[in-house]
Amino acid sequence: MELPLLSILWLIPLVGMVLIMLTREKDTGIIRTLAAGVGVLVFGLSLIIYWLYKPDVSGYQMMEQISFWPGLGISYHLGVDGISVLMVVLSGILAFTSIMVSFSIKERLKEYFALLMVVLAGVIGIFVSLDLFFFILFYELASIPMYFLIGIWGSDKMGEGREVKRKDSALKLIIYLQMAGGLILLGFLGIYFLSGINSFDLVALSQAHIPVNFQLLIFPVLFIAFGIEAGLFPFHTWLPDGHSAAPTAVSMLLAGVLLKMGGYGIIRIVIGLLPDGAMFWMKFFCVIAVINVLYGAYCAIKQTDIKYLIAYSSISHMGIVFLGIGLFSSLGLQGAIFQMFSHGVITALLFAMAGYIYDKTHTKIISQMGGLAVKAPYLAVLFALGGFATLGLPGFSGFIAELLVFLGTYKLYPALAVLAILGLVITATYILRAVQKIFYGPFNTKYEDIKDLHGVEKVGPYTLAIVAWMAGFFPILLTGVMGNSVTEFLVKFGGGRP
Amino acid sequence: MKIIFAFLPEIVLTFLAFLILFLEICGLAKKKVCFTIASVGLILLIPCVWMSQDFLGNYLKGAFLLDNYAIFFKFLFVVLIFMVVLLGADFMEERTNYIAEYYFLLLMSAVGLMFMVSATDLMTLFIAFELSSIPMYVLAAYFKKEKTSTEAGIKYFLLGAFSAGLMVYGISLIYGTFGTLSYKALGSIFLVGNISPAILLAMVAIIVGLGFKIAAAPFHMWAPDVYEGAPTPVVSFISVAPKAAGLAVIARFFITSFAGISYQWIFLLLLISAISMLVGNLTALPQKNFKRMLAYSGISHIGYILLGIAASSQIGLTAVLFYITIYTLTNLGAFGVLIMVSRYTKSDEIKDLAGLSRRSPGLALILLLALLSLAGIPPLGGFLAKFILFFAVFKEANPVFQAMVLFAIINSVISLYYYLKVLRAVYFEKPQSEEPITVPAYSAPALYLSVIGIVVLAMMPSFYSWISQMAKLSIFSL
Repeated sequence: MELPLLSILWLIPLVGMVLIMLTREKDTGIIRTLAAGVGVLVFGLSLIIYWLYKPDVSGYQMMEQISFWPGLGISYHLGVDGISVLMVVLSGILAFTSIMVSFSIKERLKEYFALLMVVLAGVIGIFVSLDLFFFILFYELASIPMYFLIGIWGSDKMGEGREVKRKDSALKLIIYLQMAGGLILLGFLGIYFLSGINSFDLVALSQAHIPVNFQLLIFPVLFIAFGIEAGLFPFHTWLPDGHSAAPTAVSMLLAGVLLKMGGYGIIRIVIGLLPDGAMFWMKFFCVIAVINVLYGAYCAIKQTDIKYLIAYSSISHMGIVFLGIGLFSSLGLQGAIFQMFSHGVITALLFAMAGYIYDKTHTKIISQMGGLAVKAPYLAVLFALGGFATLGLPGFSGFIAELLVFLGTYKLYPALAVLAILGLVITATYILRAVQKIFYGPFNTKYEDIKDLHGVEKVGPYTLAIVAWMAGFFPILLTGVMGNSVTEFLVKFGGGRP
Repeated sequence: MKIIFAFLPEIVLTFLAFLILFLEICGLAKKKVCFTIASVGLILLIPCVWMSQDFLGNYLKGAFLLDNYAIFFKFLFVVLIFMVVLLGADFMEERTNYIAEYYFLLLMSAVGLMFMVSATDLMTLFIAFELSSIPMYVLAAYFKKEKTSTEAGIKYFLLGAFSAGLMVYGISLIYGTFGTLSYKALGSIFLVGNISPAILLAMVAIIVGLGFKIAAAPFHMWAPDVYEGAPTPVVSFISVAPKAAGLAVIARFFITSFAGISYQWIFLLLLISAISMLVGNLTALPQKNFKRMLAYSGISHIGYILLGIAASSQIGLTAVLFYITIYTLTNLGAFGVLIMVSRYTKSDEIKDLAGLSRRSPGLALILLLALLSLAGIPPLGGFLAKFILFFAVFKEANPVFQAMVLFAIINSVISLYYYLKVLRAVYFEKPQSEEPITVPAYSAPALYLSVIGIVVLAMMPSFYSWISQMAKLSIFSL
């Protein structure tokens, strides 16, 4: 019998949570070891799943199915295809690195790691579940602990501009995410009843016929619901507040995988189940996507707080994901998925570095830093690496993703492509300016005894930088895995557009 | 002989109540004696209810019906009152000397509730209704030296008496028109329509009477003040048991008797449901007192449940029973934590829950689970209950129901705000004193029961299929 690898993968963090709950509060060493163990295991197992996945076999693989509630057509059904296996690897990487950067947390360690484990179980579960009911379940599992993680261990925004309290940010985030969850539930109920097959199973539903009129009606609802999670303009306002108030590891997870849950949901569920609705609405959402790219970039220029800057750049980059999805071409979709992976890794790197900068300088305001590279070269180099990767420097994953999407866009909507590329130029402006202001220029003597990254602190950023570099140099690692699934996916749209 | 077994739960409960009162008269009712009799007696009631399952049928010339539906609610009442007795014991013993009467009134009210769910005749219903209400009026005013408690009692009594009067008026209209009060006879009369202005008036009057009992808006005015003023264990009882009974009666009476003219009352229920959800949730937002907040949150939950009754389908009724079970157990969990904490802090304000996670991590965790479950967060019971309820309502053909589901979902997102406000105090704020809070050994099982309801029951599909059986055999095969 095969091992149920996918179940094991999402259960590891939950087992870790139980073990952590059983330790005493003051045994910080044991708690940290347990957490690190979970991180290594999840990372390793996600790589094994990636390794075992056979790209040339069609359909879902490593399926597990247990009937859970036959009367309502709910079953515990897991499986991965080329698209989700990449997201699983991404979650594995981020699980490991976010735990590694969490070691600087000092107070209420036990509760912190217990909640973080729940989030990890939720995000992994989302990417592997093939049942809409369990999808909602994992979604909430991933989002509710965020409230406590941000509210208790987060940081307030002080200094220049308006002040934002972390409790308010946490509340805003959770209300937005819950609203999205509610709309998703409504959409799922609609799909369930109108497909007429009495099942919440994603595989069965994707073969059922859903009435076209209903698709046209429900598509924008579900798209917006998942769009809220992924930072779709104009429902993105929770994102900067939430990301920048959160503690480092949670920022990484929010930007790295929570946003991707939205993108993944749009691909897998919204478009996968409602192809007619998608064809009708997609032009509209392509334009919104370009607005996302430009508006996010524009807002990022104005930011004085480093985490806000990264958060707005996330909004800008998620716009590229939406754009790629909206093209229905092989290039576009591959680009979108590539971008999700690459943005997850790169933004996590940037947030990790921003977190370390905050730890060491106790400020997030860019203008209060300066010349830090003199005393902290590792900090400077790694942050700059992340910055270059973000602005799409060739050799990093961001470049490949953006290239794919823009090539696809240019073939179909040249005007939109030109506009979106303008967004990239703005990205270069704000990233380079931030790097210059923080690390170069006159040294701020206030930070005379700043410490550079040392010991275990280097593990997380190094891992992320290496992954971003590998995906940039060997894009086949990603495209090779997802190529087949993307082609299959596009069969519904007549094989996709050029 | 058969009839004795059919009435066994009610008989035993009445016997227990009078035993406690008798001991008090003889001067033998020490505080712990009353508690022991009540709690052990309630445990013994469970097999009694179980046994009465073998004696299903009509009794008292069709005025009393024992079916699975009624038995389900009797089970629920026994569990709920058992929990209330365990949770409230210390609180009441510390605050008042009249313990025997407290248990007597509590148990007598429970007898009334049990008759309510079994009644199949409007007269029996009304008497049971009063039997359950009058002890509660007294209980609400139980701390007679405290102004708020007396105020709660008087307010509850005045509004209760008024709405009971309205209900009798409605019943009299029905009797005057058709000369019968039996659900079954009315069901066959209304099967062919037979709607008249007098009947519409009667329908509204009965809904007002029962709406008062379940605190549905706009008949909810008593709830916040009574919740705030009355002793917390009493409130925890008022917040679950009469509501469950009232909902059970609404479902049974309207679906059996008014099935032929369902258009009218379904519209009314949907209206009340929408108002309850909106008023409950919006008014709960600014509340600073935890009990007041729970009062408004309770009103909104009644709104959700009424949606399920309005669907008046088999799965809708199952969803209602499921929801009531989860809601009552969860709500008692939240009240239980408040009772434990307020023994130390002497306050019901949300801000005085600050730092509970430091003072008692266990209680804080139970409160977290209870409130998130009330807000409908998976994988907790409240989510499953809402999921099935929305599922059942969405299934109805009329697009009004789908719109109501959307409305309910928006409302449950709003509700998250005020539940999180409490959790914010519990987890984010610093405690005012470091003194740890301990839970009496005999109160802990009640809290565990609540946690089981929140976490375990919901994830058991077999529990759901049991409930769907309990909901099936009854109303539709009277």
